[in-house]
Amino acid sequence: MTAHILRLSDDTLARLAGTAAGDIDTRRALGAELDAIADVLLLGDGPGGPDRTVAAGFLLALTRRVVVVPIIGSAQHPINLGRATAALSSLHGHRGGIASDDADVLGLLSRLWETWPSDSLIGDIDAGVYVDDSRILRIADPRYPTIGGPLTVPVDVTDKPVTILLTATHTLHEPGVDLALDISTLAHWAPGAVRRDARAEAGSARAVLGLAPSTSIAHGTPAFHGAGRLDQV
Amino acid sequence: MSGERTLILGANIYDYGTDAGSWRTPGEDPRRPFTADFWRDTAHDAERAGMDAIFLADSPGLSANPAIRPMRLVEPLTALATVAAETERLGLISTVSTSANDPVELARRLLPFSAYSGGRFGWNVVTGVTGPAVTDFGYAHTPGRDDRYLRAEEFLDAYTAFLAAVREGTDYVHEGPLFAAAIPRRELGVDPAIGALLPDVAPVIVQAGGSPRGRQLAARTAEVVFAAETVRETAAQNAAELRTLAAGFGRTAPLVLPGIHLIVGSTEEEAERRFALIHERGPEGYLLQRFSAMFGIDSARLDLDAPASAELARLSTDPASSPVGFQKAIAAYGAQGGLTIRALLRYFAGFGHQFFVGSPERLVDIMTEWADAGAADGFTLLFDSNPWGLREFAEHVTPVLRRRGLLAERPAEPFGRWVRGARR
Repeated sequence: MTAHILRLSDDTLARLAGTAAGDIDTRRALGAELDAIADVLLLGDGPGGPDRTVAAGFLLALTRRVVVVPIIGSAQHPINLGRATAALSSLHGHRGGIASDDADVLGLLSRLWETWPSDSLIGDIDAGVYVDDSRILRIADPRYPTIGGPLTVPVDVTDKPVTILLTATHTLHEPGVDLALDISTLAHWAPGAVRRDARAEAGSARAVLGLAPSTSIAHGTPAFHGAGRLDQV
Repeated sequence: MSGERTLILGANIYDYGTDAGSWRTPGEDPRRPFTADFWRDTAHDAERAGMDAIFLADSPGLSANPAIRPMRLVEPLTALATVAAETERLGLISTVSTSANDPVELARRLLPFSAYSGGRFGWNVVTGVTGPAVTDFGYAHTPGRDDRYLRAEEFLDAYTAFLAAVREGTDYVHEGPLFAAAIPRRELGVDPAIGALLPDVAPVIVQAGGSPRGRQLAARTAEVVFAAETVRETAAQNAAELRTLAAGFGRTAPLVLPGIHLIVGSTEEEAERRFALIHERGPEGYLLQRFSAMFGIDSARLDLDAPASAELARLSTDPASSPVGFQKAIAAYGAQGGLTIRALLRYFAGFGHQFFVGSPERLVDIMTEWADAGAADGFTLLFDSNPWGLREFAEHVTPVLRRRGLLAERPAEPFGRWVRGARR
């Protein structure tokens, strides 16, 4: 399928705050409208500028099927950004991602999402085994030598949040970057625009964008495994 | 309770719960806090329980090995956005560390969050960064208490100046030893439509610091204090001192909401059984290890049957990364009751907050006594297990609070505005 991607400008996101802060019926109507207008919403005018991760959190909470991808705004620390994006993806059916014009940052985020693989979560409440902690990693990225995680949220390594590189050249070189996109070719959403069919099943961002399952690209070492575990409380 | 004062209540949702055994709550799915449904249900439970706010503790990275105790996992702003979408009045308070953020970038995030929530947002200002996150955020070693507060003080100055620039549409300039930036008014990075909602969307400033420097910072900047207190008389003295300190800064005093870690049952015996059901599922030796670490003691040297006061005086080393408020609160409880270390360890199941196991009526009696003594404007409630604890509170304690007229019908205005109006 070809996903229908619409942009929401920073002005629009600011105006939507007023709607999102309204009563629940108003918010639900907004969510239904956003679910109907596109397959993917790309948030923001472009790289830099205001934060859009917060708006992404609210829009994902209000919607049930549309994929929401904020463009990285002002310099949020990669750990905070990776953690927030991982949490949004987990809470909202893998409908999230992140976009930037910086391939290195996207590559780092993709690696950080491997620091706690979700299939290491065992969750055996009777046996008292929560996780296989030998698989929780501190990763190494030579371009960011001090940053390695682990993040606090388990992520499915085969269904990581999508990473979109904003570029006019449409070339991909960085492992961990899923998609290149020239945003100048994308239309902006205006409230009241023609609706599409909102009854389609929700899918993960990767499925909606026709991407293959993500793969492991990170190298790392166990962050906690080993002797003295009760010191790690 | 004298007068017509009602209690302000916040629910501290510590993902699985405050007890180290909480993730093993029978019948619960440990994966559920990673779903939106968990937070939607929590939102509805909190409303049913008569809560004024949901409060989320946090650390910027894994503060402990989750194989030992999983906690503070889901990033709080993302969870609270889901809570906000389900509710219209509930306050939303998120912990964010000044040691893991930049003041301008954080302001650019918190202002839209508050705007999207309709002015219902509070920022719990903490200074900590621990574990692998220390390196992630560029520190050569775990920052000590003085360094953390030095950063927090300047952070809040810079953050406040940025909000003022947004509100007034002026350039932002901050020149300090730790943060320095000059940003023209057109590049502030906050849409004028959101700036126009100030001051209502200015996040309510919440603080929990119990060290002398932390209390000074709270007196200077906080609107709500999440206090660690275990002894009513001491809590009342501390609240009075905070009011005096705030007056010294020309400010109205913050609201004081001490924490209570609570487990209720219809009878004392039922509450004890209910406590044991979760607590005994925690890792063996966990409480002793946490207790020893907080006081900087080699646990092997502790005589569990010795009086706690003498033992803590003999062995405590006051590690720089430990929360002073918790240390003082636990030591004070041991001293007041003449407890042994072993008895104090049971009380430490609340990790430094008041620890209660008992009937709803007795809990409400205590809350009332504390409020009447000037020790509290309300409480931050911590439950051993989520969602059990909050639901039990709604079922058993909320009706008692309503019968006694202690729950208020809040005005139809944003959380931030009425909280500011409630300050004394």
